[in-house]
Amino acid sequence: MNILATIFEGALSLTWGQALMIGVGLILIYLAIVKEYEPVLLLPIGAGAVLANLPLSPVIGEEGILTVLYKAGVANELFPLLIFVGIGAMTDFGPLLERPHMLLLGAAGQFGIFGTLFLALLLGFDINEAASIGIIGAIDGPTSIYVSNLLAPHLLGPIAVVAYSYMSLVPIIQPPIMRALISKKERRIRMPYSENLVSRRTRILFPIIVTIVVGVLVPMAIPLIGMLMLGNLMKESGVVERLVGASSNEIANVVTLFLGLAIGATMQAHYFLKLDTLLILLLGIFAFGLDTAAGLLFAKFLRWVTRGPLNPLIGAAGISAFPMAARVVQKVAQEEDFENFLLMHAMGANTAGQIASVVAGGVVLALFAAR
Amino acid sequence: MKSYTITIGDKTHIIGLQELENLDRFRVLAGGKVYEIKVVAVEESDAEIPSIEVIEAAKDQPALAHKAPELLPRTPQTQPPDLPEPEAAEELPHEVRAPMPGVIMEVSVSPGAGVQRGDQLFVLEAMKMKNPIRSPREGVVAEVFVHEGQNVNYDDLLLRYQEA
Repeated sequence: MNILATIFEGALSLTWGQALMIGVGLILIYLAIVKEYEPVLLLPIGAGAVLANLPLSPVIGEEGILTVLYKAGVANELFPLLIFVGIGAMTDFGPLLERPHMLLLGAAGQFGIFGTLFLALLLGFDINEAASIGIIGAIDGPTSIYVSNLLAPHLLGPIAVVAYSYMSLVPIIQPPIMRALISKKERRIRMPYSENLVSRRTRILFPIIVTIVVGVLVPMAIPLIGMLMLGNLMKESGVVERLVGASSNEIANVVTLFLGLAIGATMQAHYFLKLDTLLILLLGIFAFGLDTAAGLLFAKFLRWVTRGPLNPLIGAAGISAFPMAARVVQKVAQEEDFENFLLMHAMGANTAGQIASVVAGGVVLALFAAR
Repeated sequence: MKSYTITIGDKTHIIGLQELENLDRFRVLAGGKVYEIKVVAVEESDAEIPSIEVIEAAKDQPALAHKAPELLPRTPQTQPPDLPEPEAAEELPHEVRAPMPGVIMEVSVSPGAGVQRGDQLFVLEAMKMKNPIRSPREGVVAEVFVHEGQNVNYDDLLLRYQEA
């Protein structure tokens, strides 16, 4: 009898919570493989969740591989920051530099962070948890992970999963909001393509200046903006192509795998199966919608102020979610008028959103981390 | 009947062309006269240019326009109902230019092709997104200036329409 019990120890100690979490992990894997929703992230996260919830799993615990990965790169923020180097190395800020006023739209796209923060406070989350949940609205995975790990590490799993899930749902969630807030007539506004060729010197100076200005103003944002802009400086410098290649391919890929597994490992039943997770899921989509709406309405306002040819749709690209949000803008605009090409304008707003969400993350940290 | 602009040397001819039931036979409208022609493949010829045999020059049809209106080149009149109307006052564009910088991933039409408003002409990849470039008018493609894989800058000439 004892032998049997030993053999079936695993099966016997499987809790319903673990079984449910294995199911959640399998759903994430399904979404990754069949629906191709952010597969590069959701597949490792799903696998991590399954591995961490198998009963008596040795992958978690003192020397377990997932615990080691978590301690090596998530607990100390290393992995999201390394990913930022890769994002910087892949991002072309040219469309933004040609239209610097797009920075305003990027800023407006972060409004939902603070709106959601207040709502989360009302729902009974403490201030640090609320701030971490609000960041989901920026639809910027690494920033969400970075901020919530510092402010509310116990919510890291749900927040990361929610952030990445919604990131993959940008093409589904944004268009209805865009159609609801922006009239058909406005959606048809064409924006003349402005071609101000940006000099190499400007492109090189941009990441340096942004790092220094943002760094001085929001010290808590230095790790995020510094890594992002380091990657971009390497790209624009044109002299370290090997480092750019490594950052945007090898390092980014390896780190994404490790990060996904480690995040998946945080989805253990006793952390994840709480009412909070459900609330975070709901607040996350609220934050996302609020960010999108704020960007759109601000773009409308901007159009009213400038009286220039400005299609308010590009406000939706003011959230981060680069470059998905910009593509959605292009698609929605073309539904009304296939001769309208807003992509480069939207890319400008979208890269601005990328910078702004990083800065917003820094602001949130500066406001709450000390407490 | 489709209409084509043919330039030989420095002379431009506008002809109409209609396929007949037999695949190698065509009805041609040229110089106000209708011809029926047969396209004959010349064997052992290096160039893949088929020779043309005029079977029957249509006689007594000087005022073709009155007798056979269906043979006249089409003029843009009908719009697919679900597409937005082009601005009424605007003249039809004669050409298509690149709306933004990128790489031509696909050339969907070739010279001589008749297109409707909204038909896809090219696929332009910009910022890693594939963007269809659609025809702003009904017409016939006269010339395509780009090939697949070509980098284009903003406002580069991509395509010219025939003027009917």
